[in-house]
Amino acid sequence: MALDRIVVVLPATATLIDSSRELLVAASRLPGEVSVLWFNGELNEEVRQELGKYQVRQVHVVELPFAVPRGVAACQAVLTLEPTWVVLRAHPDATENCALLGHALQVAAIVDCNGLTVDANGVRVHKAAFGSRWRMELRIENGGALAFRPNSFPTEPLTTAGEPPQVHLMPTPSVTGAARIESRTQVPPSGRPDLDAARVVVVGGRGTDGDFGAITELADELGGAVGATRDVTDLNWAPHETLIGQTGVTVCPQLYIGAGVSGAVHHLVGMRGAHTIVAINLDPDAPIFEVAHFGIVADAQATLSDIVAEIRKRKTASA
Amino acid sequence: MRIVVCIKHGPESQDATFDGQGHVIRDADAGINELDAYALEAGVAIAQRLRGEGYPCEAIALTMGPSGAVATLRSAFAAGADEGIHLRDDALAGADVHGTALALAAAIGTLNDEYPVGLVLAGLVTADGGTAMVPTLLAAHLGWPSITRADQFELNLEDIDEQGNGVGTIHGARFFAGVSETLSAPLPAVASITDQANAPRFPRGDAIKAARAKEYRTWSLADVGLAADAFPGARQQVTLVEPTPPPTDRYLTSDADAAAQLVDFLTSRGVL
Repeated sequence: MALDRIVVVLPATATLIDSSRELLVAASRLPGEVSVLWFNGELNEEVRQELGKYQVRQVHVVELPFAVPRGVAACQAVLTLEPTWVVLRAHPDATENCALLGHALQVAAIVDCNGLTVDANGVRVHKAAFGSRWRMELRIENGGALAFRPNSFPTEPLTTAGEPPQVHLMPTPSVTGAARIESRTQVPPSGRPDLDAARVVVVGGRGTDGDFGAITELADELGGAVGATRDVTDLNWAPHETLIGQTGVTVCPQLYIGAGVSGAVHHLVGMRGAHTIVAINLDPDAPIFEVAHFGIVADAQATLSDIVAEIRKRKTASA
Repeated sequence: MRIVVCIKHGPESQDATFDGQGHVIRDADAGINELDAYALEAGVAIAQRLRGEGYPCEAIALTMGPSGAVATLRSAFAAGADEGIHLRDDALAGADVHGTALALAAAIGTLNDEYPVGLVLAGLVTADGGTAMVPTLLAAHLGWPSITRADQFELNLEDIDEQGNGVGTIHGARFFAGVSETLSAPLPAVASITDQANAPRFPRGDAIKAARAKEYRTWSLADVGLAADAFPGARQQVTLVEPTPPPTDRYLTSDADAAAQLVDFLTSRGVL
């Protein structure tokens, strides 16, 4: 019997990004041979060499049609590879792709996964439920379309030996019957990491009184992304794309720092999966302290400035 | 033309509990999934506008769930839904996204056979399953285009023909992950609506009272043309479900040197 095929769906990037490396690590744990669907950009030699270290055997480079929702178009491309397993990065486009893949392949479709166990009992994916208040493990047989959150896997390959994969150019898939994209514009890059994939996220809430200067300074000091609560985006203190929570972005960084954030349920569901949670709030009874590993009862602005100063002081001392 | 709004009866995330099979318990304390209220508002507002323009149009609330889900149907009536369908069958317990979409699409198909459905609306995401996949799957089952996660949504109707078929286009604008898109699709179509799209009305007292007495239809799987004994089970089995433990090493300080303590803490955890 032929090996099961695992397809990892990766957006084209000039170098392999950590969220892509994580997906390759996840895929390497699944039973079968790994292929990559590399969409919307060139694959350079450096990336090809690195893919080999993750035991990728084939790379299919494809330009997706512009006028079709990306998840729908990507699904068409993936289906031509006849996969048993598909591994994607959790993202609204991937949600659509996952659903359609599950439907077409007659397999499970699971989004927002944050772990994977493969052993004698088969394949189990881990995921959070009800905004990380609960955690679940789901056993899957016969394949699946799985979208994993960033910061769920290590980025290092299991081995460093591996032949670079063969590269195939895939024709742009034709899609009919889908909604039509009339326009698509990209927000200019902020120079900071993507909010959903950042290792560090610094979040400002109402307690910042709208001054994001210190929030931004700390985020940049830590190489992190800036996030906001619903109050803050409703008041236009920060753009809507920085909203963390049920209707915004879900983050699961190594380090979450919330300043002037009270911890409303709608916010907690978007950040409770963070590995280390730091909360700064004047109110010692703020709900966020119940999920925080380290809480500081103090004014947000002054404390943020203190933290920036402390980090810089130690950097100077160790330099 | 019929507009079907899919609404789910479920607990709010802070009240969620599971049964022995790892299925969410949906009892009388649960209510309409909060984000579904925006889809309902969109559907009701469009139906009312089109009726005002002289077109035959109604908004139908469709919910699938155990007996308690009737409460969610009643809240949809209070919010302006013209009709209600309660899809209820023991075989639906524990359905995953694929089973849910199969059953809802069959109900929509049954409604469509009675009188044409031009638009299916759903909320952004449920608080319980949290997948946001069902609208896409409904579109796949029905063979219709879909616009998901619309922050702005409108229906441009050109006509409703003699059979009741809507002729027109839906338009949506959405924003996520640094990309903003505008989309369009011809009717019939499926859309999911975010909380940015509108402001759901507060039902008036007389509307709430009228909703209590309003008739609705209860359909089994057989009523929508599906065999209960052949209904597919979930494609994944829950092998573990447990509350996420709170942090064991919580630390709270208001000391003047809190910043230094924090940097020590983060360094010791290997985060910095």
